[in-house]
Amino acid sequence: MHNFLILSLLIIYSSLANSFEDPKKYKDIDLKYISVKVSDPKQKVGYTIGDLIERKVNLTILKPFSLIEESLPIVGYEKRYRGELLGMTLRKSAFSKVITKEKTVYDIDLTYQVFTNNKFAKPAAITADYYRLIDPEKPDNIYKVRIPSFTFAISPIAIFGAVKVENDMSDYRGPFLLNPSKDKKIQIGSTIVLLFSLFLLSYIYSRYTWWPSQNRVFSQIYSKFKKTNSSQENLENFLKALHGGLDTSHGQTVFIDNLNLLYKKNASFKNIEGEINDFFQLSRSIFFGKNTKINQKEAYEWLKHFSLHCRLCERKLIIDKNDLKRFNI
Amino acid sequence: MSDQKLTDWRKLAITLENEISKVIVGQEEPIRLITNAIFSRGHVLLEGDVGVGKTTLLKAFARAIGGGYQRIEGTIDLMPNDLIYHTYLGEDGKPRVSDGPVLKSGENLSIFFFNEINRARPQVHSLLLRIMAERTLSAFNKEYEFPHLLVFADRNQVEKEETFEIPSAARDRFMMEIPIVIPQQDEIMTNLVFDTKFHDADTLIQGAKADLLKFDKLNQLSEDIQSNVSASKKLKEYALNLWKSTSNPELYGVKISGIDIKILIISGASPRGISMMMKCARVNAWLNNRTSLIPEDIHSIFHETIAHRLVFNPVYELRRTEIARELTNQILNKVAAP
Repeated sequence: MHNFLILSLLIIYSSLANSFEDPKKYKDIDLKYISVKVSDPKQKVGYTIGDLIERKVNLTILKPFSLIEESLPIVGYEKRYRGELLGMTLRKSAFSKVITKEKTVYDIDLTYQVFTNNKFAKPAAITADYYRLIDPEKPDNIYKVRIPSFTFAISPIAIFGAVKVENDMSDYRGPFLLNPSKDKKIQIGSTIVLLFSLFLLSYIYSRYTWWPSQNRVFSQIYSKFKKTNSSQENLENFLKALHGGLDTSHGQTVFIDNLNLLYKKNASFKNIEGEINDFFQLSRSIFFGKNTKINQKEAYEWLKHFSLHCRLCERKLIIDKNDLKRFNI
Repeated sequence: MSDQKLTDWRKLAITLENEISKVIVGQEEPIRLITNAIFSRGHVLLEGDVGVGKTTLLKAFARAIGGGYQRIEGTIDLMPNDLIYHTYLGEDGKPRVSDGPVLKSGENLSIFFFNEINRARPQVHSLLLRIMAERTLSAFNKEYEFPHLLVFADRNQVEKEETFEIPSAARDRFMMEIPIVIPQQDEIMTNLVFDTKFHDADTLIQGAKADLLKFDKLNQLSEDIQSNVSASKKLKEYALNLWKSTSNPELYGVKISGIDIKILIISGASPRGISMMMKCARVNAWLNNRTSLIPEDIHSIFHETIAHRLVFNPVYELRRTEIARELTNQILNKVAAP
C-alpha cells in the first residue's frame, strides 16, 4: 500500500515538474531549420465556459532535426501562467506527419476547452507552447521552437437569463449576433406553403386535371368534348356524358323529378339550378322531342360552359352568379 | 281529333282534378293518377288502410264522370250471379228476376265500383276478370257489352281474416294499383277532424260537380291522346330497359337491403302491363301539355302501373307493399335515360 502511494506521488511530481519545465534551459533552434504556421479561430472575443477553441499548427522541420513527439501537449493538460491555472484545458490532440529526405512536416490539431468565466469580460489566452527538437546525431543538444500564444477574451454568460449590457460595455465583448437559422426555416416553410397554395388554387380554377383524386367525372367530360366539333352525334354524346356525370355524382340516375335529392346531396348544384333545368330541357328536346330546331353550335358551346360549372359544383365550390348563363330553347 | 279539342279536353281534365280536390283533400297524387286512368281507360285498384277515404274518392270520380254508376260490396258469401241478377218475390207473390248491378245500367255503365274486392270469393274475381278484360258478359242467353266501363275497386291490406288474395292474373287486369295514405300535413289533418263538412261523405261528394265528362266520348278521346303523343327512339329504349329490369333487376345493379334480389322476382311485368304503363305515360304527357314522351312521364306512373303486376317469391310476398316500393324506386334510380 505504501509502495503504491509513493509511486503515485512520484508520478504526480514528475508530471508537475515537466509542466513547469523551464523552456529557457533549451536553446532556440535556428529559424532556417524550421517553419511554423499556426491557424487560430477568427473569433477573438465572446468566449465563455464550455466553448471550444481549435488551433492548427503546421510545422516543417528540416533535416537533420526532428521533433521530440513527447513534447507535444497531451490531452488533459491545463494551461498555467506562473503556476496559476488559466482555465484552458486541452481536450483533443492529434497529429500527422510526412517525412521526406529533406524535412518532416507535422500537422497538429489541438482543441482547447474554456473552463473559466467572469462576471466581466476579461482577457484570456492559450499560452505559448514549446516543442523540443533534436539532432539524432547529437542527442545531447536539444532545441526548442515556440508556438505562439492565442489571446482572446472571455465574456460573461447571462445570469438568470439577463445581462445588463450597458453595465458591461467592453471592447472585449463580441458582437451580439442573432441566430437566423430559425427565421430561415420559417421563411422556407412559408414559401413552400405559399407555393403549394398557389399551385392548389391554380389547379382548382384551371381547366385541367392532373391531380388523381380530383380527376372526377365532369373534368374528364370537359376534356373529352372541348375539342370535338358540334355535330349532332357529338352533341348527343356530350349530353349523354353529362347525364352520366350527374348520375355518377349523385350515385343514382338523375331526372327532373329527383333533382331535389341531388341538391340535398351536394348543395353546390343548387347554385346552378337554372342551368340544370336548361340542360334537361335541351336534353329532353334532343332525345325525346319532336323536330325541335336547335342551334347545334350554340348548344354545344353552352354545354362546355355548363360542364365547367358542374365540375366546380362537383368540387363543392360556389359559382359566381354573374358567370351563370342560361340556354333558351 | 283536332289539337284544339285535345286542349279543351285537357282543360276539362284539369277541372275534374280541381273539383275532386275540393272534396278530397291531401290526395293530389292519387287524384292525378285516377284522372290518368280515366283517360287511359284503365281499371283502378285502390289500396290502403280502413277509413282513409278510398270509397269517397272513387264515388266522387264516379259522380264527375257521369254515365251509369253501380257498386257492390265484397262479402264472403257473394256469388258471381249476385253481380248479374237478383231474385225476389213480386207483389203478386210470383218469383221475379231483376238485373244485377252489372246489367242495370246496360251499355251506359261507366263506373262499376267493387268495394272491398278481396272479401269476395275467387269465383267472383273470375267473373270480374272477364268483364274487365273483355267488357262483355254472357247472361240469359245474351251477350251484353259495356264499352264505357271502368272498374274501380278497393281493398284494405290490413285485415286478412275472411279475405281472398287477388291472384296475380286478376291484379294484372287493373291498370293501376294506387296506394292511399293518410295526409301528413297538420293543417289537412286538423281539417279532416274538425271541419264538419268532412264528416258526412255523401254530402261531401255533392260538393263536386256532377257529369263533368261525357263518358261516352272518353274511349275515342283516349285513342286520340295515344296517337297524338309520340315516343322517341331513346324513350323506347328506356322503356324497354325498364321492362327488362322488372324481370332481372340484378342485371341493372338493383339492390335492396336484406333481400336476395336474384330470387325476389318470379315473374316481371307482362307485355300487357308495359303497354298499359306506356298508355298512362302518354296520358301524363298530354295532361302536362306535351306531345312527346319524356322519362318523367313514365316515372310518374311507374310504381302504380307496374308494382302490382310483379310476382314475388312467396318468401317475400308478405312484405310485398314495402318491397315493391323499394324495388320500383331502385329500378328508376338505376336505369339511365338516355
